[in-house]
Amino acid sequence: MKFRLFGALAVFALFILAAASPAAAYSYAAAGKEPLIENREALLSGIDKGDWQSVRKAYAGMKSDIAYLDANEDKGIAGAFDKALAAQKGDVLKSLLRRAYVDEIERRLDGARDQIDDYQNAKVLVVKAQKFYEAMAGDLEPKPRAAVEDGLKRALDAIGNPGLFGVGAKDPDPKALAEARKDVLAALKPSAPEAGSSG
Amino acid sequence: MKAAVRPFSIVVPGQNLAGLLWAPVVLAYAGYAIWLFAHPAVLPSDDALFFSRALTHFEILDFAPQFPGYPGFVALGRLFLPLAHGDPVTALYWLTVVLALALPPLAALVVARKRPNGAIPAFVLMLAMPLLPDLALGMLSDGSGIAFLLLGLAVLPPAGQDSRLAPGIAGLAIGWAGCCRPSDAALLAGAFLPLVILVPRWRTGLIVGAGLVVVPTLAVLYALEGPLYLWAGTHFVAGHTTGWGNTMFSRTASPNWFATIGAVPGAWLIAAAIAFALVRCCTAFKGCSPRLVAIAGALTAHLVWTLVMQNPQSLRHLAPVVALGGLLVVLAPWGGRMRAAVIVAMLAGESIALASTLDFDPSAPPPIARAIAALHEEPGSRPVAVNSGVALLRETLSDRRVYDMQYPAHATAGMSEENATAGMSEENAKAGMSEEDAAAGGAGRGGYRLSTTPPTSGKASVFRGRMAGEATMYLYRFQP
Repeated sequence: MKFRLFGALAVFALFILAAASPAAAYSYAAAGKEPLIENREALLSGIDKGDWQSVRKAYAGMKSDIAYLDANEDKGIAGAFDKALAAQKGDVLKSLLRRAYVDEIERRLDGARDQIDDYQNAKVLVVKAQKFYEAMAGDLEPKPRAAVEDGLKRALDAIGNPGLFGVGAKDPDPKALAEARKDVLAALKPSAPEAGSSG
Repeated sequence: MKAAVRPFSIVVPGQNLAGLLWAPVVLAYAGYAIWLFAHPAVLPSDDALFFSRALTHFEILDFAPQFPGYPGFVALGRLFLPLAHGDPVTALYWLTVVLALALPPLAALVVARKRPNGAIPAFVLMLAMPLLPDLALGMLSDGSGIAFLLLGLAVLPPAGQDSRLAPGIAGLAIGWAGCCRPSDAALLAGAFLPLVILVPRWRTGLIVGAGLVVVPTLAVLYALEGPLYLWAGTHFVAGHTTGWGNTMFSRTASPNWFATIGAVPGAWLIAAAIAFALVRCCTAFKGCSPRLVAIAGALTAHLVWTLVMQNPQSLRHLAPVVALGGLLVVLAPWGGRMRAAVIVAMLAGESIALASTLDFDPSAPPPIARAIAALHEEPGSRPVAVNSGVALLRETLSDRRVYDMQYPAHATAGMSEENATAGMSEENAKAGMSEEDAAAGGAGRGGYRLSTTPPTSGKASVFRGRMAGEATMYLYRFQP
């Protein structure tokens, strides 16, 4: 009797989890590490202490992501990083890092726009944009900070929601996402005027 | 002959004295409730801010609230929204005050099922718990986990009586406790497993009851967030364990629990009373009821979990230990005199701790709110770096940059820059330039540091915690 009851409970649990599971494909690669965020402390600490070996080591961890941005989003950013490193210009490196973060936010929001019909992937991308914003939020003045936060919240709303077993489902809204993207990037532009020059 | 026990009776039948003793206790309880409700509904921390956001918009990945989501707690908070005219902060405040105020009567109910004349001591020990004001005014979920666990223990029938429905209701309550506060998993498992193992006739009811709440809740969370919920969980657990959580495994040095407990006068007396009761339960295990074993199991499991995995800077994590410790002291199998002595010792410890940590002024807002008010009065718009409350400051300070000291190199780099060059308006930078700065040649650089640790040198504005468990904050000038 007990076993029957436990069995029924287990089947019920599996049924609910299976039914509730979003059907869309999901790439865990998209939710992986972010070298630009993870290596920033080491890079900035190296600059502060004048320890350029540590700076170069931290930059090595970011290099493939910077190369990606250079090839796809912001032509010239990798060369600018190399030049600043060679000349040991800390202030330039700091502003380049901000520029790279803005590029990453733009890149993820563009990805969400392109995959807006794939709820899980679009959500991963907006959440990733939020992570980059949170990492650079300290550098933002209150006005752009509020504008970016508001824009990213709207972006998250705009990708819709499949709902729970269809209940509460909300269709994605590409127009609202485009508006949110535009507002976010406009607010971030003064922090990194050269960001996304090839995007 | 043993007196008959009425369900939920907290007055000893035939003893008028008990009724008389309840009068001052109830009066003190009413005064306590009035004092708690006299406090302003003001957010004291980032986590409270995240909960308040969740009352109107549930999105774990957007920190509304933080992982793991606390769905039961958020659902309860939403019930208070209409009463609070839709204001999530007020609703959250009412919820946590009500949950904290529910603890003394629930403690009395748990004890009354086994030892009716222990109801008053259990009530009083819970009411005098030094962390009770923090459970109420901290606006976090801690009180909900304890309250529903106590409810679960209270509905279980006493030895010799049986009920087909009670174990199921207890399972529902303990399951709901888990939905309110998943981080109390060790506490709840510590209570649940002994009950399931020791009382076979309760087993099915407890498991089915808990499952009926927990399984659909997990399904709803998974449906709402999808695999991202697992990803957020992995990041949260890794970050909490090795980063900001100040656990035993954190990379950075952190204060230890012994120092935190030792900083509260009377705390060691409370700890000694609880430890004594725990040892007594272990040495006289045969005299312990399943309910008592469940209380001891929950206390021990939570204590181990807290010492290993929780932040020693957050004293509130020990609240379940003190709350259950009070029950243990009252219910432990020992003689009347010894019981009275240990109860008095614990109450003395609690009284000393309360008297030395409590700010009786109910008009005082939380330390972080006072620090924010002080920053509002500061004429310039210098940036501020904080190690606690960064989201709250970013939301409320509309005139300056806010750096997170979890990234110290980033904060230092940002505050080393000329304030005007990092996007700050020139007018603001000028307004923030004091004569002292100009003389030192550091005009426009640096800012403020808001911290829970005092500066090693120089002056600081001090915003004292209002109660045990609420950290004192220090605001001072910071020049990298």
